[in-house]
Amino acid sequence: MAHYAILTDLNRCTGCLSCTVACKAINGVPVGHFWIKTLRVGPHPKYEGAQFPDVEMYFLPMQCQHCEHPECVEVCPTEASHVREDGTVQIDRSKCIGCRFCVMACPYGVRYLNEEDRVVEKCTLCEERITQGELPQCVSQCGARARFFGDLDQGVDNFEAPAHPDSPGCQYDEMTQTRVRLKDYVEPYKPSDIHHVVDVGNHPKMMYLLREGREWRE
Amino acid sequence: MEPQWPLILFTFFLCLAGGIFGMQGYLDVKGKGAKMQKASLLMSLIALIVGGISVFFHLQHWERIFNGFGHITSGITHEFIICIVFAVVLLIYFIMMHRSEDNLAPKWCGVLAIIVGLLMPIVTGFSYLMPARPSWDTPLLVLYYTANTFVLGSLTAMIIADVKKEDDVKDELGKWALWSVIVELIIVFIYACVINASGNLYSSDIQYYFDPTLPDVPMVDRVGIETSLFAGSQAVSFWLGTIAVGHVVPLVLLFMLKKKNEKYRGYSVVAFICAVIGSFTWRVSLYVVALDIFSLFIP
Repeated sequence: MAHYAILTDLNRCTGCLSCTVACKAINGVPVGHFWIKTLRVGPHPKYEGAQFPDVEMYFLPMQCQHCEHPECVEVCPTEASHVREDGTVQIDRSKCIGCRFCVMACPYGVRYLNEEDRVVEKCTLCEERITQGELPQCVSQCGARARFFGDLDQGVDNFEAPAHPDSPGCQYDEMTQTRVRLKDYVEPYKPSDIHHVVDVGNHPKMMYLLREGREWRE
Repeated sequence: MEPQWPLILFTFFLCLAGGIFGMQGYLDVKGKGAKMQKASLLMSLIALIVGGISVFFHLQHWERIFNGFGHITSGITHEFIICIVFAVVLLIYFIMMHRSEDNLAPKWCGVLAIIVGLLMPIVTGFSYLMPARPSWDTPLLVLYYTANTFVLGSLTAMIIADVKKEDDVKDELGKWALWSVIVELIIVFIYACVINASGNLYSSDIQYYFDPTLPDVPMVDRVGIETSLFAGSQAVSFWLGTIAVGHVVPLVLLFMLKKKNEKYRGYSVVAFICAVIGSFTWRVSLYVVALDIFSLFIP
C-alpha cells in the first residue's frame, strides 16, 4: 500500500493561488467551496516586540491532509469516507448520506457539503490523475514549483514536481512525465525543517517545508 | 459552528426518552408507580419517535439511511443501535407489564429500563467526542447528557405522577429532580469554566493570518468565542437561559415543592419548562463554541 502525500516548500511558495484555481477548474468545485485554500500566515514579529520591517510570514496551502488515522473515516456511518489502497482518503458519493459528521470530525475544516448533490466533498488528491501516473493538478500547476508529490514509502527526497521537457514540441505523455526530484531541485533542507499542521491523533500526511530561520506556527 | 437544530432536538429527545423510561424503571424496581407505567412508556416512545424524526432532517440523503449500519466505529451507528435496543426494551416492558398479575412489570424489566435509559445519553455523548473539536472532546459532555437525562426524566415523571395521582412517589421523584438539577448545574458550570479556559488550544501561535478567498471576513476570534459564555455574545443565553431559567428557577420551585403545599402542584410543570429552556440554550451554546482545532477560516 502506497502512502501518497504532497510536500509544499513554504520558502518557495509565493501565495499565487494557482493551486487553488487549478483545483477548482479541474474538479468543478462549486462557487464558494475550496478543496485547497492558500492562507497567509502572519506577518508576525520576528522577535518579541519587533516592529515592521522585522516581521515574517509564509503562505500555507490547506487541503485534506489524507491522514494516517483519519477521524472522518472513523465517524462515517456508511463507510462513504474510506481509506483507499494508495493511502488517500476518499468519499464514495453514492454512499454518503450527508450527515456531515465527517465535517465536524475534520480538524482542518476542509470538507464541504455540495448543496446541489447533497454529499460531502473534499480534495481527492486528483485520484483519477495519480492512478494514471500523473501529478495532482495543484502540483502540476504550482507557479513557484513549490509543491511536490510522491509516495512516503519511497522517501520524501524522491517526491516529484513537473519540469520543462527538453523539446518544446514534445507529446503530452513526455511532458507529463518530465519531473524533478525534491532533493535535486530545492534548496538544502533537514528533516527537522519538515512540518505538519496541528495533529490531534489523526497524523496528517501532508508536509510543509519551512527551513531554519523561519518560525513554523501551529 | 452554526447550531444544528435537528441534532439539538435529537439529543434533547433522546435524553427525555431515556430519562422517562429510566425513571419508570427505577420506580418499577422499588415496586411503585404502577398507575403511571403506561403514560411513562407512551411519553418515552413519543420522545424517541420525535427525536428520530428530528435527526432525519439533518440528513441530506435519508433514503440511504440503512447504509447507516455499515460502519461499527461510527457514533451514528452506535446511536442507531441504542435507539433500536431502547425500543425493543420498551416493547418488552410493555408486554410484561400487561402479562403481570399486579399490573407492574417484573423487576428485571425495571433494571433493563434503567440500563437502556442510562445508555441513551452515554452513547449519544460519546458519538460527539471528537479530538477536532476540543469543546466537545471531554467526558463533561457525556456527564452533561447523563445529568440532563436525570433532570428531564425526573421532572417529567413528577408531572405524570401528578396527573395519574401516584401520590406515594411524588416525594421521591421530587428528591431525584432536586439533586439532578443541582448535579447538572455543577457539571454545566465546570464545563463552562473548561471551555472558557480553552482559548489557547486553537492554533494560538498564529496571531495573524489572512484568507484571500474571504477578503472581507475578519480573523476568527478564537479566544473571544471560547470566552463568550461568561462575558460575550453567549453571556445572556448562558447566565439567563442556562443558569437562571434552566437551573436556578427549577431549583427554587423544587425546594418549594418539598414543603408539600398543594398550591405548588403546578410548579413541577413550570420547573420542567424551565429545564427544557436551559437544555436548549446550553446545547446551542455548545455548538457556538465548537470551533475546530485549526479554526483559521470558515469553510
